[in-house]
Amino acid sequence: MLYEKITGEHFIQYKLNGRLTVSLAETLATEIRAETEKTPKVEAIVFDLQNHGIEYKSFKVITPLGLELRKSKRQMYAMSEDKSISTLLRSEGMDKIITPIRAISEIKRGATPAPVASPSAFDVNFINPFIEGTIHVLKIQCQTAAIASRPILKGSEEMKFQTDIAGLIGITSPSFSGSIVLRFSEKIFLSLMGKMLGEEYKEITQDLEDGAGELLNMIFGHAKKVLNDNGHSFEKALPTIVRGSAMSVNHASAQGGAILIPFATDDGMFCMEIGFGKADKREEKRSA
Amino acid sequence: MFDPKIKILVVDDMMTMRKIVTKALKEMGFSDFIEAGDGAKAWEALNQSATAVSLVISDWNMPNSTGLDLLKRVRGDGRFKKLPFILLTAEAEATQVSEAIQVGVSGYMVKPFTLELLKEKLEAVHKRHAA
Repeated sequence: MLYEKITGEHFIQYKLNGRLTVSLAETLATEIRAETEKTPKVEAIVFDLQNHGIEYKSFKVITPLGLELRKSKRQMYAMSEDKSISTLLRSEGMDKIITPIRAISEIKRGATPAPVASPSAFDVNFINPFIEGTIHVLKIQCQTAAIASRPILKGSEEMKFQTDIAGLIGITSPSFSGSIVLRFSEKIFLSLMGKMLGEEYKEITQDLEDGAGELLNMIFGHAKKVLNDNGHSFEKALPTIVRGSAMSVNHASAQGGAILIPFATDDGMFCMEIGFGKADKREEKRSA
Repeated sequence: MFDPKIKILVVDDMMTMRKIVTKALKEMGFSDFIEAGDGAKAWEALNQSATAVSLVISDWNMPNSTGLDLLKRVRGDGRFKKLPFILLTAEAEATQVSEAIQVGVSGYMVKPFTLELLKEKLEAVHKRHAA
C-alpha cells in the first residue's frame, strides 16, 4: 500500500509509505479533490511524509492542488521530523503552498486570516516587519549590523538626516495606502554598497544608484510576506530611485502622517520613512 | 556541481543585484558570465552567445519582460528545454511559485541570500538536471 488515510475531525492525513513521487502525487490529488468536495468541514490536508522525502517534479502536481484548497479556505501541510524536507520546501518557496509541520498539533484552525483594518502611524504590528526586514537585509547583503531606534512622528522632533539618495515604493492596497522610503546620506550609502558589492566607491555613480532600490525591494519583500500572512494583501511593487543633494522628502498623499525610523550602523545613520495615506476603500468594499 | 567553466547568464534590471550574483559566483569559482537587464535582452543574449549558456539565473520582477516571460520563452524553445533556470525574487508569493513550477523552473531563490545558500541551490539544481 502506498499510503494510509487517517480522517480527523477537521483534517485528512495521508501517511505515506514511500517518497512522494509524481505518480503518487497525482493519485493523491485526485482523491483529495473528491474528498474535499464531499466533506466540506475538512480544513486541512496533511501529507505525512515520515522521512521519505519529496520528488521535486511532484511540486508540479501539488502546487495547483494547494492553490485550489486555499481558495476553499483549506491549507495543505507536509508533516515530517526530517529537517531536510522543511528546508527543501522553504528554499523553493513551496512553504507558501504546503506548510511544513512536525506534528498534527501544529495545524492552524481557520487557516486564512481575516482582512485587517488600516494601520495607524504607530501600529507596531505594521511597522515591525519593516524594521526586521531592514536589519535582516543589511545583515545578509551588506554584512552590517543595524540597530533601529524608536520611531518618531515626522516633524514632531528635530532629527535631521541628510538625504543624498533614496529608494521609494508606493503602495495601494485595501488596508494601506502610502509610501515606504529608504533614505541615505552619500557616506553611509557608499559604505553599504562597498560591503554589498565588495568594492570601494568614492561617489554615487549612475550604476550604483539602483542599490538603494534593491535594498528597499528586499526589505519590502520581507515585510510584505509577514504582513500578507497576517491578513494584508500587498501586491508586488517596483522601487524608484530619487537622487539629489541634501534633499527633503514629502509624502504628498500622507493624510495619516509619516513616521521616521532611524537606524544606526558602525558607518553612520540612515532612516526609513513610512507615509500613511488613505487605504483604497474601493478595494476594501470589494473585498468585504 | 556545475563545471566552473560553464557560461552563466545573469538577468536583473538592477545592476547592483547582477553584481551581487556574479560576485558570489566568482567566489564559487565561476568566471564566464553574460549579463542582461531584462527578459527580452536576455533572450537575445541566449540566442547570440558564441558559446552555449549552461545556466540562467534571473530576477522575476523586472520591467518590460519579466523572469517568468523569459522562462516561458526558454521552455518553449526545443534548444533550451533542459537549460537549468533559477528564478530570484524578493517576494515569494504562492501563485508566483506555482506559476514558475508549472512552466518548468529548475529552482527558486528568495533575496537576500548568502553565498552558502546560492551554493546549495546550484548543487540541488545540478542534481535535478543530471537525474
